Amino acid sequence: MNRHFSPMLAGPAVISRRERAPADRRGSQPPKVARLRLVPAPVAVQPRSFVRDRQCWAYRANVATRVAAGSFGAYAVAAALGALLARLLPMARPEAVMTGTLTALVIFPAVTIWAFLARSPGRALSSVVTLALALGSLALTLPPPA
Amino acid sequence: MLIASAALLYLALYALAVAQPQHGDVLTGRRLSVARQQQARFAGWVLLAASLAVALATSQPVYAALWWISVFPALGLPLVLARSYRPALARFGAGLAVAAVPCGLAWAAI
Amino acid sequence: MNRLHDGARQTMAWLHGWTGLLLGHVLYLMAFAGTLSMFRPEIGRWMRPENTTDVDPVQAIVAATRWLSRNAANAPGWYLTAPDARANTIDAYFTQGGRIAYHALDPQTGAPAARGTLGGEFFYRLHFELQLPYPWGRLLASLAAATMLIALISGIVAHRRFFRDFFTFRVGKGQRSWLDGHNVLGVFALPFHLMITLTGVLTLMSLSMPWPGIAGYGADTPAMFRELAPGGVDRPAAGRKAPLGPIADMMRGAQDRCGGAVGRVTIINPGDAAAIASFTCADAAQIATNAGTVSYDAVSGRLLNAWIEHRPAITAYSWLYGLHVARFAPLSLRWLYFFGGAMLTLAIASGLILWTVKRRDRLPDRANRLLARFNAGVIVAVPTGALALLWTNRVLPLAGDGRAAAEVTAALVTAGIALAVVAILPGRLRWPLPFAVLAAGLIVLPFVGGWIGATDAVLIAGNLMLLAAGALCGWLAWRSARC
Repeated sequence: MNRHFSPMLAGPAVISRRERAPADRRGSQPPKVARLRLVPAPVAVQPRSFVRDRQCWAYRANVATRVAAGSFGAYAVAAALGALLARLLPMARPEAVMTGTLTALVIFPAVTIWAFLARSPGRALSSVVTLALALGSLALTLPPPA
Repeated sequence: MLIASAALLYLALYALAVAQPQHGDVLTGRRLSVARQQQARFAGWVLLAASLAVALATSQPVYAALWWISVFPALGLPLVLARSYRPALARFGAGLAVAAVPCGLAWAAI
Repeated sequence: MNRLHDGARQTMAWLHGWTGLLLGHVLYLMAFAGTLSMFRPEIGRWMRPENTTDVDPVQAIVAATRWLSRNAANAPGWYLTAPDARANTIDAYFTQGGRIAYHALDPQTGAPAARGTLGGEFFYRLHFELQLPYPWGRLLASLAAATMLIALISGIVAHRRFFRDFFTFRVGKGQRSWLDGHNVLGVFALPFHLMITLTGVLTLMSLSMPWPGIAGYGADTPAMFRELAPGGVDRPAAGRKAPLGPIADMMRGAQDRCGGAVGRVTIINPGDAAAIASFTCADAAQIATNAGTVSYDAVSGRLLNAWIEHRPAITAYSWLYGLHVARFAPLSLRWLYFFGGAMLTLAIASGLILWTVKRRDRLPDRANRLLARFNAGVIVAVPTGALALLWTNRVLPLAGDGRAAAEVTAALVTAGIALAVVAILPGRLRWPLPFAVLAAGLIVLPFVGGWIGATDAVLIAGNLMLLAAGALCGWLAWRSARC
């Protein structure tokens, strides 16, 4: 859906296989202005804040990681938190279980959305895994309620 | 009471639609000044609050709140379709709603 | 590494598109079946028009237990739902020939109704079991519901012109019209969609999120069910036979304790000396389901246990559950739920179509064309299957053992054929022809075997709904033929 094509990132070399909308193919480049270059134009090295090339492995790995974090990871976090609350809460056993279940219900979509908005896929996956492991191990160490 | 609430809700949605520049002229059939549109927006929000208040004033507020949330699309969708296909119908609906408010309140008072 | 897109809105738009597409067809089926399930007992009445509507729930349950004592005496349990103002048969689940089966029992004889059919129960089960064996159907439905929740939230975040485009529906502008329609259908009923999806995930959580229960109770699941619903009694069969006691008195006692009608009646180990009769308060009396349970010794009629739910966490769960199944809803609210569900079904369908329309000009590749065919196939096949169910109900002779199964088979086979045929049709016929066939089928159906229902409002309303749906399909056929 991202149709932007910045001339700065494309070097003078052949542009590799990218998704280009028809609008971007012709006529959308800025008019070339003749410029005298005394020194070669510096290669624009900007910190890339997002992946543009849809076909490259980096993008696919990005998506795959976030999908894993947002699906299995979010489920694990929700399950771990629910289990922890079931053991931790000072209420009667069935009520603690029910509160844990209801909390898991709202936590899971929040974590999924966050996994896709996180600054990087590594952060998303590592945070989710850490959280799930921490909550899960805490839940396992607590004794089951009487 | 619920009839009055539904009528107020329709009027609220109509007013909020009229307040938008792309819909106001088409819906009312005449050119609206900016001041009029702002008045329509204010009236729309007031009517929306009034509609919800009337609904909650019934004997079962929880059911009424659910009813209000569910009747919102039932009134809004015909308004949107009327605006796109036959704006005169939307105007007619607004007129009907204006008449229905006192009738609904009177019927509830009986 | 880095983010996926320019900003949050674009990422959410991307997520909304993909989560919508992945399970969108399953969700379309679920929304369609769920919308129809709002009128589950009424559809059952339409499909069993010869059954009387004058029903006393206590006498009906007594007749049912009497018939079951003679014909299903060895079943480990009878699971009955008492008739009420909406339903005129007893919904009964019991084991027969080794398999648990559904029958609608006649309230006067207790025997299965003359016309063997699942009735509205077909759409109800289809909605959360998807005609797949346990537990795979429910797991898939649970996954689809969770995906739908993500699609909803991402759609809300992605929608930039939320208020500016609130009333916008531009007609005849191709992709823009589809987008406007999808937005209007989604945004106007947004609280409804959010509520129904969230509560929908909740209804299946005992299967999809059992971990809090396991953390609290370990492997002792019977203890968990006992503590969550304390009104029941758990005792093994005694091994001696004994006839059932005064069910009518027990039921009336339960009605007194509930302060209203009784909904579910469960007889555990019927015919045994240690049989239990459990009565659950009717779901229609309040928003929360499972409001209370009263259990008696089924042989002597002695009260064993009674529980009216008041614990906050359990009540909150039951309240949310009740919001989804909407058994509490009076008639006007039920119609509004139906309307909201119809909007959700159309929102999902328009979203699927929007996906292919958006890419039709930009990426006219093979996959997109295939998807467009598949979309049309599914969107048409689901209502066609439902219509086939209703047609077989009217056309098949009344007598016959496997009649209910035959109706379901006809529905599934017709849906499959419709999917295959529509997918093969060329572009110009792909939408107009199936809708025209649907329209014809819907409009003729009320007259098959003669217009039934001169006095019964439910039957008349059902026939009128079929005619209205037929008119809508006719209009859709005409519109899609024009463009």
